[in-house]
Amino acid sequence: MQEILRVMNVTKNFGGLTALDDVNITLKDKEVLGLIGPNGAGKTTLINVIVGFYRPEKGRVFFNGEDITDSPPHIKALKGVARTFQLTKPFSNISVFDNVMIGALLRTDSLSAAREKTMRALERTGLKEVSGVISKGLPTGVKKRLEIARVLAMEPKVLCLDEVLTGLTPVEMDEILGLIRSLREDEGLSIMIVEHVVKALMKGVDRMVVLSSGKVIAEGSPESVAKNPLVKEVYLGRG
Amino acid sequence: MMLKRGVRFLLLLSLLGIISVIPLLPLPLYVFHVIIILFFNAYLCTAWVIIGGFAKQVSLGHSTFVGIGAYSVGVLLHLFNLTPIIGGIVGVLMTVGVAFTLGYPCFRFGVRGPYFTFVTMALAEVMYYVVVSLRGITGGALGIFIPWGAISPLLLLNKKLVGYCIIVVMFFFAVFLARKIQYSKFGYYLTAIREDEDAAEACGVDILKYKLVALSLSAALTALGGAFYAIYYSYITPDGVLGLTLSFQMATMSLAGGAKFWFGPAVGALLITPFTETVRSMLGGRFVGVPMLLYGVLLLIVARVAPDGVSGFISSLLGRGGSAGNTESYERH
Amino acid sequence: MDVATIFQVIINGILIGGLYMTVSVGLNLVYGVMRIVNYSQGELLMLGMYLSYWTFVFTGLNPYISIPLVCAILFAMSLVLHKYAVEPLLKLPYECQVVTFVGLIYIFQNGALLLWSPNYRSVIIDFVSKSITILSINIPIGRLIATSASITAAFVLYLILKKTTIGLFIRATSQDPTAASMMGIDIKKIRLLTFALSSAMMGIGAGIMLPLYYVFPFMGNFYTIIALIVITLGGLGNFIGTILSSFVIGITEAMVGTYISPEIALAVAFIVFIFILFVRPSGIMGE
Repeated sequence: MQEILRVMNVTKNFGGLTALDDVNITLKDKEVLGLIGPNGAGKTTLINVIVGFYRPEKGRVFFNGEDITDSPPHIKALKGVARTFQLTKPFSNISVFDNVMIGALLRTDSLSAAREKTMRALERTGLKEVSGVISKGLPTGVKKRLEIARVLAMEPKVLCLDEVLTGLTPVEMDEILGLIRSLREDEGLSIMIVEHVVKALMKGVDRMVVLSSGKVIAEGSPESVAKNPLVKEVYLGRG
Repeated sequence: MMLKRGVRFLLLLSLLGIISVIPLLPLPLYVFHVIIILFFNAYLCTAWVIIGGFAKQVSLGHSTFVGIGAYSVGVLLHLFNLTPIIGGIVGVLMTVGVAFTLGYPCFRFGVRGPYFTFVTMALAEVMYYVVVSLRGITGGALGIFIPWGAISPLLLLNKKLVGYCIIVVMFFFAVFLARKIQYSKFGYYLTAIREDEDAAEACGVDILKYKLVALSLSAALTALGGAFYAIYYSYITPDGVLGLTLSFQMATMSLAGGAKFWFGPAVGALLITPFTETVRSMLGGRFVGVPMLLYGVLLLIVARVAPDGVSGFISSLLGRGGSAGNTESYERH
Repeated sequence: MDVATIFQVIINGILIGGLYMTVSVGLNLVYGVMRIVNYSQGELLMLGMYLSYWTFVFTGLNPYISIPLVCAILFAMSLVLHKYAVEPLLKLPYECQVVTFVGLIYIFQNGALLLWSPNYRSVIIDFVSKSITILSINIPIGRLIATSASITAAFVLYLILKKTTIGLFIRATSQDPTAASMMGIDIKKIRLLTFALSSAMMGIGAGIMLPLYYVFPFMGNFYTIIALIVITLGGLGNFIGTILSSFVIGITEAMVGTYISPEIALAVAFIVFIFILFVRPSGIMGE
């Protein structure tokens, strides 16, 4: 399988703190990759670097072979790299529909074309009924689906989901995981899913990477990673 | 507000009807003047709202653009005998230049929210001082006098009537433009910037570009307003077209009316112009302060009770979901 | 451009900065604790000066001496102001601050206009316009008193913030209101206290400025905008930054005023401000 996203030797510092230390990760085409690790491991920082909110001190990010390290977030979105936020960031005072419209307008200047994309995204994520609701008042689970709908309307190739399962009930989690699987099957997206809750990902991902204190400490199939003593220590050791 | 096609058409027609009748009514000259000022304020506020409301980059320095527009007309007429049309064009070009010069560094380096407001306030003050000190060109604190006859003998016909026609046309132009923007991709993107810049960027919105365009457009329209001021009032002074007072007025009228909607500023102007105009003409001496004091009280009330402005308040009463500039839903399509 | 003149200009600048300091410190304090910009801070100074003036007219009390009285009145006034106008802003979007405070500006300015007419008022105190001369540098006594008082007041405030429990509570609330309230700090009271304190400080500013300047209803705007520039330059919320930038602005104004032209002195200071903001949006010392 081809690789679609490559993080190469990325180091990110904040003052004296090293959040990412020589990180190497590849995401293969149409792969679902799970990125796990304890709190503070650097997972969200990594997404921020990939997507362009942060610039790494060292290292490069490649998308489809192209060096996109220095591109700003909106350019990367245009190229096809999109993300959702850990603490959801809907456009609070407008409706669900309009939220998704803003994503849909990425690849078209026509409002009617954007409406088509929006309606499709809303259908995919099961948000038809609440499309007219102002997003401020929505419960977390719905907001998470809204983020996904919005990002779907952007027609990305690579999707970085930042703790999209956190705060959901088990039923909601299964729904979202099912949605993610279908995104890979039907739309051919490559997905990097960052999670703190490991168990939920076990069935959902092809491969797993474990991050701890800014370093990659394990990589492989979900089963092998789960059995890895280093991984256990890093998670349990914090308990 | 999305009213039915037929209703909207009727409303527009009756509005146009009223507007055409007004000059024919035997109104006292002063009342006619206030109506003209009403349209003028509505025009200025609609121009303001493009950057200050849709994109929520609250500027308290828009008087700079009014001043540049007014003084361009005045100075070019005075020094070089150029018609206000050229003055207006020069004013527009200059304000767009200022908008870019100020906006680019601001928006590039993340000068947002209150910081942006402070910068615009500083700009307004700088402009005031600069204009006063360049007294050779601008007449300093005494200002410039623009005789109507110098512009065109035609205009001597009936200054108020001509002024009325011009400002009404300008007003409709601005309002239609604002409406078009609100319901376009540009408007959607400004809304995204207003609501959450980081999320907007993640959705592919080029924040720098859209803020700059909004600011420049707003500045250009405002400059034309300044040009109108110069022609209508015939007398430009720094206190009349520059400084913080005018800026405060533009911003608060728009915000009080409702800065997320294309008709919000017009509502604000309608509501507040009576306060500011009674100041100018009817009461003299110290009682000049009463209407302005009431204006202040009104602002306090609006901020508490109707944070999205009067039109936002009415919008939510009508069950339109409150504060959305664009509220669409699946069912409508 | 001899050395003596340069020193004179710098001293002039420091004396100007001293005048700007009180309003700036007050504005900074409120922003630090509540993230609210009091655009009407200058009007509070104006009201303080009127209070000081009328106290002088009716009781003969010297403006320097009536400072505590003026502070007390402003303090009481702002308790009410906070409850009805300022506190609600905590839950409202940013633009409501602009509307509210411009509303207050109109109310204060025109209230003063109605009550006391647009005439300029001042209090003449003998020794204020005299100067002392140290090392051939001329220092007007009134300004010396003003700057010393400002620095003292700022210093006292600084000590309060750093060394007392209340100061600790205030600092905690500015850093993280949620955490502060979870630790048992009554953040509502702290916010109220801070706002009232910052208004009361205008009483000090009023007392030291009335002997030097006229008071009239519309004088406030000027000081507000200077204060905004000062606190942004020093880093919004940064106490020491505010103090230092008051002097930076004052000295810039003095230098430009002496060597180029007094008319555009402030314009240049503002332009410098805009530039610095682009280079370092968080101000010289950061937030």
